[in-house]
Amino acid sequence: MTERKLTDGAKSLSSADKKLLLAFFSVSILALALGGRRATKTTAGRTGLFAIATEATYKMLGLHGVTIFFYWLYFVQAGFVLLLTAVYTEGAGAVAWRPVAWLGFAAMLAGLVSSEWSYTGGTTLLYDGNPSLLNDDPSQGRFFYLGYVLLSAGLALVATSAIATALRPKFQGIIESWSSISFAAVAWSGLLIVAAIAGANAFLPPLFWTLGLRESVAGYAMSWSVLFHNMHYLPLMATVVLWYVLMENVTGVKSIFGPRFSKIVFAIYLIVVPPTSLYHMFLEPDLAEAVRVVGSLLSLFIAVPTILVFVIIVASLEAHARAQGGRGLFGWIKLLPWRNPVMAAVGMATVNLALGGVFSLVLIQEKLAVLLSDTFFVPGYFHFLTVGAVSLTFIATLITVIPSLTGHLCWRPGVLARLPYILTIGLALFGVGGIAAGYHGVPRRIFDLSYHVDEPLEHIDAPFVWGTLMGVVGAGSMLMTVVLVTYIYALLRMLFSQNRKIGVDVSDLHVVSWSGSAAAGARAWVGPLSVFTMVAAMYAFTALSFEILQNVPILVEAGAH
Amino acid sequence: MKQLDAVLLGIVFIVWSALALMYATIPMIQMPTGFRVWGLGAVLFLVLTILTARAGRNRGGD
Repeated sequence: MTERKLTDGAKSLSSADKKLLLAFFSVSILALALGGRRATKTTAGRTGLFAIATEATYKMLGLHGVTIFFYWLYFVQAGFVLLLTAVYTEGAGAVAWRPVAWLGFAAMLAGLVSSEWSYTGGTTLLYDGNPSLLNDDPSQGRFFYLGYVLLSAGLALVATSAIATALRPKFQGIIESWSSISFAAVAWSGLLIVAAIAGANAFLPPLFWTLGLRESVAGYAMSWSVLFHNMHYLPLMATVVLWYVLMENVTGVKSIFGPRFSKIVFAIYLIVVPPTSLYHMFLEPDLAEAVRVVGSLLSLFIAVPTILVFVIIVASLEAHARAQGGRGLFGWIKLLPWRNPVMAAVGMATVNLALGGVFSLVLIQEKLAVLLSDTFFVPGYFHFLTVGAVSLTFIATLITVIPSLTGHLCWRPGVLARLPYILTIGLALFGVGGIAAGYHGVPRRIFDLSYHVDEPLEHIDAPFVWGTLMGVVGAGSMLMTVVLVTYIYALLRMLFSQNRKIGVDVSDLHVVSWSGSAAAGARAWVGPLSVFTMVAAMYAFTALSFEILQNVPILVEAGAH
Repeated sequence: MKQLDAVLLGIVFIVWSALALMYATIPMIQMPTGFRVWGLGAVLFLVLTILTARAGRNRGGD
């Protein structure tokens, strides 16, 4: 019988803790729905499916980024750190300092309302909130920056409650050391507080400026870069921690390398965060060449802990599956419980993370960053990470956790188990179309691609291929929308409906029980082989990028004649 | 190792402190505000290290 700590632990929490966690998860789903709707409108506008006024498209894009990147990803993470510390810390059993966590929730909710409200006025800021765009009327950005400051304060409070939850059993002498998941959740919470500090560092000066309390803001780009580094690293760390949790929940498999090695790997996450932040500065014209080179080299370390966790999980699963009779290099994979929507989601999330990871490592090399950063290459690759890896993993966790907290049945697991594949097809269209569009120079944040120069000596139209590639992006986006709408509907059903006729108890979802069955000396080659393939792909796409981009001036010359 | 949790958090503190110092003192890197964030982060992990080490000793006293 598989020990299902996540499911059983969530079920056994007090009703007060369940209410707290469901509050975070409910608002996160609301933010996902709002952000997803805006993503669909933005893409439809960009790909020419219907016309939107230019200013409206920027508002839509700004709201999409703010709602998804800051509120969906952080409301749900706030709930997860509280849940994991309460469930995986032996002797905890409940959220400590619950009023502090509720205060954090209130601050984050006020932040969401403030951020949304800011766009009802004249604000046309994108999610990076560049204050120089407000020089004409700084007061238009008050609610925008206030929203981010409140979010930062809320995150710090929630993370403090999570850390207190993990520390309390230690202080009470119930435990001597944390489980690897508890340790990871504490590290994750610590990084959330650092992100909150970075948020205050970046957004308080422009907030005071918009309130007329100080002069204009200098050095915002750098402060934003430091914050952004934390904010996009955190969901990635959260994703691999949740893979650990979810795989144990659906297979019973724990790391064959032991909890100590897992803790070391999670600590490496924290160690590589500050030194890898330099690559965000590559677009700064004054950055010294030596720093660019060092930054390029250091940036490669950002993938190391994620790759290590991936290898640990895959090797552990493979060793256990072989003990169950799994044969062939890949044959053992068929033994995994693919009819479980969580397994299907995590499986596709690893594929998408590999694809996004390869292209992200191409982009963060300083010679290519300058050429590609303002093209559609960027949204093309990062949606593999934000949607295909991070959001898919978070949704898979919610599919497990929400029915455990509400006592409702899991909505149509057969349907949910198919969605990750459709989402990945949509992402492949969006990503491949977007990356190819980026290589061909489609700009990242300019919506009207129909430019036309018609002068006596010069006749230039946008390349025909731009429209074709953006059409592929649009098709992928529509598929992704269908999947996300279905997921949101399913999560709402699990929140508010018993699902008696169509649901399955979350404890009865398809699982396997491989706990403690790993054969000594069993082969486990797929993890290392996958990493080798990923490194080779990164090398190939880097070489390809240089080849394509070196030819761009020649293509432009040829096109001009 | 009995105090592995505290040791690992302590290593994070040491690395972050060193990098914060580097960001603050090497003008070529141009990250003075980065120093504030990573420096305060280092302080946070120092506090966590101390709390975790002290809490971990409670069990030993049983």
